[in-house]
Amino acid sequence: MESLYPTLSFLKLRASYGSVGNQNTYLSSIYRIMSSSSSEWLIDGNNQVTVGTPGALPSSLTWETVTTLDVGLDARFFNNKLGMTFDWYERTVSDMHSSGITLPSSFGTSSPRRNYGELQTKGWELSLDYKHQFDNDLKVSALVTLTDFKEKLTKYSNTTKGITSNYEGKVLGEIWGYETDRFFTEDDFNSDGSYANGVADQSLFETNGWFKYGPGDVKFKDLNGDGVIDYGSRTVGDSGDMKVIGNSTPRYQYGIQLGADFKGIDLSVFMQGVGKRDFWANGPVFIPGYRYGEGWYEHQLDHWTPENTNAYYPRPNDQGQSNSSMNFLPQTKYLLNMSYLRMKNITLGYSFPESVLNKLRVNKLRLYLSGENLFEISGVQIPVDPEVDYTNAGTNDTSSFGRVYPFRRSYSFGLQLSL
Amino acid sequence: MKTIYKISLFFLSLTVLVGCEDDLLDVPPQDMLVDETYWSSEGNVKTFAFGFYTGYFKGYGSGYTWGNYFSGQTLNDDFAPTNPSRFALQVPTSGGGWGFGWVRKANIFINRVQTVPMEQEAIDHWTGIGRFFRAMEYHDLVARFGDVPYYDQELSEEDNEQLYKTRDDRTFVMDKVLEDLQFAATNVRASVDNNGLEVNKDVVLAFMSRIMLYEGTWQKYHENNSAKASEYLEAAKWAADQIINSGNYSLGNYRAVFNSLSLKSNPEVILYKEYESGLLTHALNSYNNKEPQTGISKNAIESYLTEDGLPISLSPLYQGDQGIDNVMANRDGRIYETFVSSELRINGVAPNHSTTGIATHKFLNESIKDDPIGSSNLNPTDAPIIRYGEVLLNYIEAVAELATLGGAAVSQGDLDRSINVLRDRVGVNLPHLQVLGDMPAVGGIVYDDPKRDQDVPALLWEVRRERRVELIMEGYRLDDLKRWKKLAYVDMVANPEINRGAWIKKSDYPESELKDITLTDGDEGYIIPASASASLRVFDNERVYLSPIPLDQITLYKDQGVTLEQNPGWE
Repeated sequence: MESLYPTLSFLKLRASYGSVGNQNTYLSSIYRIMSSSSSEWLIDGNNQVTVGTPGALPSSLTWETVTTLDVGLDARFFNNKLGMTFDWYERTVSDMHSSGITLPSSFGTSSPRRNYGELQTKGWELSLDYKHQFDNDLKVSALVTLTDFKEKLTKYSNTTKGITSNYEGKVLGEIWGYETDRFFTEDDFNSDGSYANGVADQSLFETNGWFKYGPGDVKFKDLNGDGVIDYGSRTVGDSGDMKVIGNSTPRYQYGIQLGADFKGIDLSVFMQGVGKRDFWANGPVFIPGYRYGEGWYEHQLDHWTPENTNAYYPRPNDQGQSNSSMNFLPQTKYLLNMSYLRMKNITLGYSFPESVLNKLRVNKLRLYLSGENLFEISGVQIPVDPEVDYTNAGTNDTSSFGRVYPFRRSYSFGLQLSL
Repeated sequence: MKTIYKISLFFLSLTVLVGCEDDLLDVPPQDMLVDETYWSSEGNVKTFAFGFYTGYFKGYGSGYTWGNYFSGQTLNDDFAPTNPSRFALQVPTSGGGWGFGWVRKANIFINRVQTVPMEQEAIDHWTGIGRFFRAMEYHDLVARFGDVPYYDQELSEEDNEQLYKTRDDRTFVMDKVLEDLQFAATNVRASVDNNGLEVNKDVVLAFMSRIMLYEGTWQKYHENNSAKASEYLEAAKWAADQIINSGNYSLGNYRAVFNSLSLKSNPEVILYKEYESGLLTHALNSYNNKEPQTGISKNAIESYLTEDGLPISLSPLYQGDQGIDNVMANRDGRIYETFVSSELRINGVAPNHSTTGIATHKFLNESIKDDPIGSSNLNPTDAPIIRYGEVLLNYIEAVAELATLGGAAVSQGDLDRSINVLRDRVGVNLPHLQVLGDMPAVGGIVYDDPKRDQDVPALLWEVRRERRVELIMEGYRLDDLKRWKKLAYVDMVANPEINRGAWIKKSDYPESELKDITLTDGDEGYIIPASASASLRVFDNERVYLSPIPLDQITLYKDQGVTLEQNPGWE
């Protein structure tokens, strides 16, 4: 081993394995909790308090078990200048408290939870750091971190395997949808409005009585080639032309920190980002024509017209406040790509040399210029920040997507003085 | 190094060798109410009991719902909507009202009350309250589905025998309901902390008269079981009689029962629901005020007597139905308190129009009609839950039905303590109903309504008329028709009169305003609210007397090798 020194200056292999009861469970699964609420029955202007009926107590419920396996490697190279830490882990929640067996209504309440199901999280974390001082006093440093994980239900009691429900094999965050083909053209229809020969029939989604697919509307790909765009029974294995088109769990989260120091001048840069994240949003910022009669955003003006068939958005339509019908069924084309790289901070500073300090009789004097959230590079197709969500004010209010305050860009200039 | 080993060995031995007693570790959460520790005082029992109130005493609802009042129930022969609601056509895959959550709640309540540290009298009272609500729920289930499995205790998830129990005969269930009601009537306190706002003995008795009248008449008309019919009708009569004899109630102003800001001192109300601005409000007043409304049918308007106590077709006082003034001339006083008699409100002419032209103001408080609280969902008027007027009607109907089952004939005394009390109410202004032989009479002269349904004896016809008029738009009519086996009345093809409104002449109005109105004879005639023939409701299948059992339940039973039978006609 000596011979590897100083190329490999430090090496440690780590492994740990442990299992513990999951304390993160709902008390209502274990105790017959009677939560209090207002009865909406007034007596002399007082809303009478009441309590709920206690739920059923499970006859044989025991702890969920969290088992964690972690394998790690720490290494340093070139006289400790370059370091690396790597961890791979697998976290398994077994005997999950999942829905009980289906009981008839005669039971009178929801069936008690039981231990069934397993959720597995596999992930890894990598961090690299580097430090170097040049002969001319220039010091540089870098720290890069990268993490990723994926959660999958490895066991679940659901025999029907509905694609919107939990089922064995489900990757958490997955988004089911259709593959966008193109816009319909005149040629896709016969003169009576019916689908021309060889064009997959989408009439299954013409459910509201007034919307009929026509030129300028979104045409989906007939993945199973049966001549009809459909969703089968919306179950795994019979999902018609639907497939998993993305996942809303952030993947490959990373951070980069760079620093340099030269003769009193210091520079530090911090960037942060997400490598991959998909999102099927809702609301008028995302969907043009979300509400009948509401104004359209500027980015939505590139819509299909007979003259502008190469547009980004389909023919204008009243989407009836829906992100799962007509032209905005979940689909690949409009699925938001929420990956990004954000310049979180750049700071440039200058510390005055000792000679100046002595004259001024101070210990330290530093001038700096700093900027926060300076810019981001993002793949998102609409003008929203890649980290936005719905507002908290109206939780689940679908109209609020993209209407939140974005991250504030701020620039600051300062003087640091210690006596 | 050695000390470290010693110390760690010490801590290791602590965890391995020193165990805890089970109950020390198993402490229910101290910051929450749990079943194990909740049942410790009568106050807690009472708090739990309020959980039943909103389930059974909906009153005028809240927000934009109004329970069964007014157009909350339009599937009947009183209302003439433009889009009539229809009978169910399909068996639901799940739900459909087949639920036992309330039964479970009542059973848990009854069970827990027994061990609460309080006087035996209190245990009996609260047991009675629990059994009262269990009876209410089983009555609802039986009225909807007929035979249902009967449970008198909470089920365990492993008790398959009970969980997959087949349906008990409705008579078996209703015998249990009667037992519960009898127990409640004996043990529930006559006076409670807030009479009128909490269940007391009178509330139990009043509901008992309603429930037993329902089942008694059902047994007579549907099951042909005169023995059970008599037994239940006797119970209904007994319960109503208790209230009448108590002398606790009397009748005040009719409309004040429905439009008062407070029902606290109303002499007629046995139980009411309090509303208060900012806390709990409803929208029923608004929909009798400035909003368009579903109107009353011609058929229902014509069931009101004229002020001489005679049906319109027999009375010389009847002025015909051309023009609202004529319709409203010389009638049963309740017609003026229920309907707007000064004007017709036609679609296209009045913003607050009625589908039939005749508007309802039974639930409108005139003093707040221009205030903010008189509109939208901000109405604070109190809602009657059960009232003396209904008890009187339950009484006389039970007596009249018993007479047809071999009981004593209806006496003048029976009428005088029931229907004639209603007719003596201030503002009603009707002569007493008399019985001569077994026929109805006024002023000593026997009469027989030519419009009478020939299946119904003349006196019973008058009892039913009184019930319809007194309780109109209070959500009873559909139940009444069901138990009398008279759903045929709601067939709009066979009974076009229930799809007719006021008589008008188009030339009386600017033509452009009436483009949405269809009349029976072109330019004049009766308004036809539901003018599209495809929208007319028909009654062509007896199966709708009972609701279908949801399919998922039948399948679940089948998986266990048990047959949960579907109701007839729904298989």
